[in-house]
Amino acid sequence: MMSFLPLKRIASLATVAALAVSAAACSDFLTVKNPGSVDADKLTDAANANLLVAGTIGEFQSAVTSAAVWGGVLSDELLNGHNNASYGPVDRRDFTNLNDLVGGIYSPPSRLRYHGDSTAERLKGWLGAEAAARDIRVARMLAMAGYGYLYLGEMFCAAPIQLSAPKQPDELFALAQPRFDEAIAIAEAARAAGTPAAVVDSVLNLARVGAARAAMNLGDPGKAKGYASLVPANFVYRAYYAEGIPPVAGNPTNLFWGYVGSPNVATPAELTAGVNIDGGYRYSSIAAFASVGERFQNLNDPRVPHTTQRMAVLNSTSGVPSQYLPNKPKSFGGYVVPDGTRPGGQPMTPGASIRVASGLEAQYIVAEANGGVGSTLTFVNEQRAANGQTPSTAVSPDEILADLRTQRSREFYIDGHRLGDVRRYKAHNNVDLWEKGAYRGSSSETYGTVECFPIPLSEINSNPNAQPGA
Amino acid sequence: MFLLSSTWRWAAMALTALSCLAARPVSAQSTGSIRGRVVDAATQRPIGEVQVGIAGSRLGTVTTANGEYTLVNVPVGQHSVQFRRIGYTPVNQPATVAAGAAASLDVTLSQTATQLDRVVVTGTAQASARRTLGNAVAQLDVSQMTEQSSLTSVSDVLQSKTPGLTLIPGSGTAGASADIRIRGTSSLSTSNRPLFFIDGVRFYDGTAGNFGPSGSGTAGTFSQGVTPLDFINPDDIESIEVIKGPAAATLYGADAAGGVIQIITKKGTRGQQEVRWTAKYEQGGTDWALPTPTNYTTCTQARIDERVGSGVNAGRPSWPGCQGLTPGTVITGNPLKDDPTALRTGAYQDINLSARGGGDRFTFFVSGDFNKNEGVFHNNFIERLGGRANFGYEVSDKMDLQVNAAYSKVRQRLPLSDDAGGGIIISGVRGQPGAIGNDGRGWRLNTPEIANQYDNRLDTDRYITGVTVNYRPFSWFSNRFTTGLDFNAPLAQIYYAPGSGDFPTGLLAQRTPQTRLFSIDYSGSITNSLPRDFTSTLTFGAQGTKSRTRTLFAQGAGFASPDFKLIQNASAVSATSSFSEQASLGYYVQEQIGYANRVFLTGALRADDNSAFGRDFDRVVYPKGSLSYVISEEPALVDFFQKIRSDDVRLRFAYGEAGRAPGPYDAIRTFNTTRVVNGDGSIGTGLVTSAPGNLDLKPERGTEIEYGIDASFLNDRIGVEFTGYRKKTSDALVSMGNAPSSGFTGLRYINFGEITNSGIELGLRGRPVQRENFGWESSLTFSTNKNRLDRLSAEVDQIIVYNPYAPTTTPLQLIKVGDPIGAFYGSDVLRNPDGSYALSATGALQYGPNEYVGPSLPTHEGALSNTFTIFKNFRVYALIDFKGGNYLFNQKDRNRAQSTNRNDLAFNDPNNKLTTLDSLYRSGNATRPWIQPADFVKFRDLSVSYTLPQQFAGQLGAENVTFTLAGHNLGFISKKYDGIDPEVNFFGQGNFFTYSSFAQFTRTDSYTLPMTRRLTAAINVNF
Repeated sequence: MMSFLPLKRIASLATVAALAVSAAACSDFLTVKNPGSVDADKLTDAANANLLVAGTIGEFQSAVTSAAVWGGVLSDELLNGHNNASYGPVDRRDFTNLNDLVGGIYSPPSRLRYHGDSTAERLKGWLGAEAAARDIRVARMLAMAGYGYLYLGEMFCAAPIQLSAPKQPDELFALAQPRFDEAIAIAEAARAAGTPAAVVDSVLNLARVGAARAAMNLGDPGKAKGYASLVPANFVYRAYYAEGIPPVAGNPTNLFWGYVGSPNVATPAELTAGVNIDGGYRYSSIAAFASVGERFQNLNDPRVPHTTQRMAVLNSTSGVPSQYLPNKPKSFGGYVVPDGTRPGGQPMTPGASIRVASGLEAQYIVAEANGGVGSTLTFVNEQRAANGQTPSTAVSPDEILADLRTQRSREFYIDGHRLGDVRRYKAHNNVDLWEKGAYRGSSSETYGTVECFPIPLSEINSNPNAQPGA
Repeated sequence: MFLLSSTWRWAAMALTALSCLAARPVSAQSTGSIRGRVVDAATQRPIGEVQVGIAGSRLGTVTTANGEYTLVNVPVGQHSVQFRRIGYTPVNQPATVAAGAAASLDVTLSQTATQLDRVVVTGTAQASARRTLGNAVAQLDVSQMTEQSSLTSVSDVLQSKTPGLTLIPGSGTAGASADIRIRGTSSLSTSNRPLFFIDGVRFYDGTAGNFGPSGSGTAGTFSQGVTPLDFINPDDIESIEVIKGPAAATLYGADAAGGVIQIITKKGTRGQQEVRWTAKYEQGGTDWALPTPTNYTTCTQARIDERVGSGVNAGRPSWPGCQGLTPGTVITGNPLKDDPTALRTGAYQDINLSARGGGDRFTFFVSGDFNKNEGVFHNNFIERLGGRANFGYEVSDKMDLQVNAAYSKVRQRLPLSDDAGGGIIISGVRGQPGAIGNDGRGWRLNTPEIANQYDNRLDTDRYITGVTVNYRPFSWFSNRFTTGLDFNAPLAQIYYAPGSGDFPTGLLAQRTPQTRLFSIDYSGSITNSLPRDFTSTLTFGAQGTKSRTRTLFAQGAGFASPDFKLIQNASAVSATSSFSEQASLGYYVQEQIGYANRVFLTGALRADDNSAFGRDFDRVVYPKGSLSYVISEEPALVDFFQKIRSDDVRLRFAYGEAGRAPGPYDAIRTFNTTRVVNGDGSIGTGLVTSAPGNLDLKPERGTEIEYGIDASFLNDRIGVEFTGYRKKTSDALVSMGNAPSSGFTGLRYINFGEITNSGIELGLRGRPVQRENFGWESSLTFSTNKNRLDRLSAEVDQIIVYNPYAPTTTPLQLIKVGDPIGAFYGSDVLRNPDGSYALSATGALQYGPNEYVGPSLPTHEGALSNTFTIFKNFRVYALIDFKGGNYLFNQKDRNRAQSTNRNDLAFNDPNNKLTTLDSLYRSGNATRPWIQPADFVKFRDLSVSYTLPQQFAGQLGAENVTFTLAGHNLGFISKKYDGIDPEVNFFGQGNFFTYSSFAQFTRTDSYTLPMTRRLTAAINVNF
């Protein structure tokens, strides 16, 4: 029997000690690189200011096209033709936050809201209060943040802000208002400080239209008119996207191009085959799902152009296998007035810009704020005439406003206004335009009762203040 | 094709050089040799690969396939010669060696059931006998398995061989990976796969980086994945050890909660003095052996009258196959079976050449292999060309060195299958007989000619090298240092020619996700003999791993002509790159106290840190304790055990903890760049929020209690291994969508949730008949697993497992407290007491609540294998396995019943017409009918081998020649599932990286290729 040798004991202790020492010394081994990102804690450098501003503009572009598509699907602008189980219920207005699309619809306006607010705050910190009060970048960030609140309020039943309890649409519109007001004030100061007029006017009028839109949503047409009447008639503010077919991966694109079947000029072989060809363009039936809502089909209105024939779309399990697909509406960049040579207008492109705010919208707001009066009828008839329609037959104030609403729905077709409008009409004008009864997309289903997107599970699961009953 | 000739020429030159080295005489007058033959005690059949060594020295060799061995340079004198082989009781025999003479020593080995003295690798510096371990370690004799079965990958090797290890194959697609779980699902948002080591070097077994076969550009939808694990040549493997859970895997640390699989490759043996050559050639085919669904069309009057409205066929009948038929006639078609261009019998070929040997101070094993496995689709194959060189060198009596290097070149092409809209199966099974489309051939969307143009490839170069140094400065102090690098360099490519249906403008995309996994491992052991038959073994060590993945992705879209196939030829070119790095470092100390070589008490601590947790994270400590008690050797009980004819009985108990870390940067909140479009159309760059991070992140912790008994009876003719376990995961990592209101979207890992797995594992081995001319060995394994989610968080009590076919208001699978993870939930229509539909006031079907159906993974499984040896030279091996207790969502059959298809028999059966409500029921939102039991019993393997009598083999210049006919996946003995194959899952890809939607738990049969049958003939020659 051997005894325990001291040497062994020493070796054991020495080894364990060596391990302990090496444990402390080897921390470098755990140091890793992360070249693709910047640690949020390190974002203290003012040199990043313009990058953050640009990032917020990118979020704005993302939020606008998302609102245009999904606002269109939930409202009556678009009809689903997708075979995925999640899409039909949104169009049918029969879904809950279990629908996995909801999270993706909620993120763009939430991110826009955050980036606008946080970048404005960072700029104020870096510039100092005095300089920030006349820096047009701060004004632009605040205006874009305001649009984030606007989209949240117009699309969602409620939405938390920075992990708060859910805020109702009116609260969200009320939060948008001071941001637009501050943006207006800073833009005016920037003009006085020598910022080029074109830059100032762009931001200033974006904020004015946004403020007017928020006021309308809050049921305050007088206040809305105050903002809108200051907007020049020729003002247009667009969200821009990158052209190129096929799109360059990673570039911001107008979602509609892909959702209507990625139209592209048909090759001679495709023209011969005649498969999903319209106006010399080939539409992919595999990608297409966003088709023209029944109320907007065959209107013979140049503002709402669509394919001249029904096109094959994704083989919906409950839908119609062929539908009209929207071409570029008037509010999209590259729009052409349909004519004899191109009766369906110009097919969508990935880089079609979307008109977000305009002098024309301001005029519509003023007209709506004025009510069903003569000046409104005049405005309606101007719009009708400009788009090849006979004068309105409306007589009563309600009829005039109804025609105004119709003109507005066509003027701003699929550019992100319709869902907010339909909700606003019901909330403040007692006009219910929601589709009801038999679902237009199938013969065996009926429309549900959903009128806004719910708070997604991603928010509820990670925001303790957003729990039901919290 | 590979340049086989040049590769094999190089291999032959290398082997020849080694042969020369090995053949160098090193004899001396003070030495002699020992020769002999080792045979099976029962069957008298020679036993190859027996390790033969001189006790107390490092002299050794292995037996040939004929059981013969020669030990040379044995010092003059008396020696104890040891004989060891997995599955046999070790034997020590004395031998006396005279100078320059050859002593003869023939030995018979008896098969054993419990193998208490079998040596296993446990993570410590010294290999340990099983009797010292308080936990079960499964050991697979792969060298024997590859001789008697047709095994093309490690997944094949692991299938149905070890109780507690569940192999979940996704598809019969050649090259598609299988998921592996040990003792159930224990993690929600990280991989549930075990860690893999090859000869002590950490092996990367994540995704190989292929594009998901979706048919939609580079998008990866639900489809099959590929794992480098299947790039290993099974013929290079000596054995595999499966270390099943935290109780056993504590020493492997922070990522070992899912268990550990150690792959030990073949080595040479010192002193062998001759080169053993092994050549194997296997040829065969792979086919779709199971039935293919028949499609039905009812030729209604409307269909007979219908005309094509537009296009080139305008005005022609839409249903030409219905013309001239009486309304109501049903016509059938089965394009998968009837169209000869649809499926094929894919060629299977496997060529292996290896040599092993050793000299006075060195050993070697070199091998080369070529394996080609064509799938049943014409555009599906996997080819592997590889080589391995393992060298050992004894620097001194105190130090030896082992260098292992392997290279494999793998080419594969994946078909358009599963959920991809234009795949052959979906087009065939949704086909409409009689319709005008596709020349009336009955295909729904794409014909095989179109589908086979799909070109999705993965070419991989993979190197794995490792160096192990063993240093024994004293007899009581041993050290082992291993370092290695696993380097994976794939090139994934997907190409759509311009004009293709899926990508009309043409697309070429390439991705190179290079992965380097560096591992370093030190372990030291100090052994002591203490008073009163006590022994002490102190083990300590450190392990570090650092992984780095660098990916370059480039894509060109818009090609003018199919003649151009470089990315720069495209009109729109884009590129991205990514980089990630992760490191872990752990230390451990273990003390084992033994008493009289029958009681072993072990305690250990392991401390770990990981770069994923950020700078401020403290190390996490995992404890371990175990007891092993060979009670049959207790003096007071020896008589008792002899009376009950028990040879060995061992009781064991183990407790241990191990962890699992999240991804590389999951703790850190970051910003990233984005692109923004300026008013003039130019592209700018912006900075936006990226990963939300979680600075409080910590590893999830697995805690396990394991207990069991190993026993053998009747002179080792019957063996029993029983294990019970209870494994709990706490602080489970859950990837949840971050609250978008914070501005940070995307996924965020949070520690919450508890998961419990419990079950039993039973292994029975027996040799019912052992006669000289007939032997029968039988093995039965059975295991159960009860998986339960115990807790999520205060805010979350259930999580939906993403499935694109789930109705949005009634999720198909849930992660819900109290249920198995990923359990199926289904809703059905409401019925009246008489079974009729309970309709709403408007006459519509009404649906009941979404109710629990059952688990999605097997709750029990097992296998029965039998080996019959007839007249020594014939061997028949059969393996039947079974799984059950789980369900699978049959989306394929559901989809055939839906309104846009309705081409199944139920809808078109003229003798049993469905009512309108029946049809609505089958095509509506009732999911319960399509969640179907996945229980099955399968005839997995059958092989018949014949070994040429030695005199004939000798005439061919060989020691041993064996012919084998083998069949794999031969068919179902029984199944409850209505679909073709209950083993399939359309989301193999999710096994590895798509944890975001918990899709790793999705279990759906959506036009997934069933497991294919492989029939081969092989010749195995040993020289």
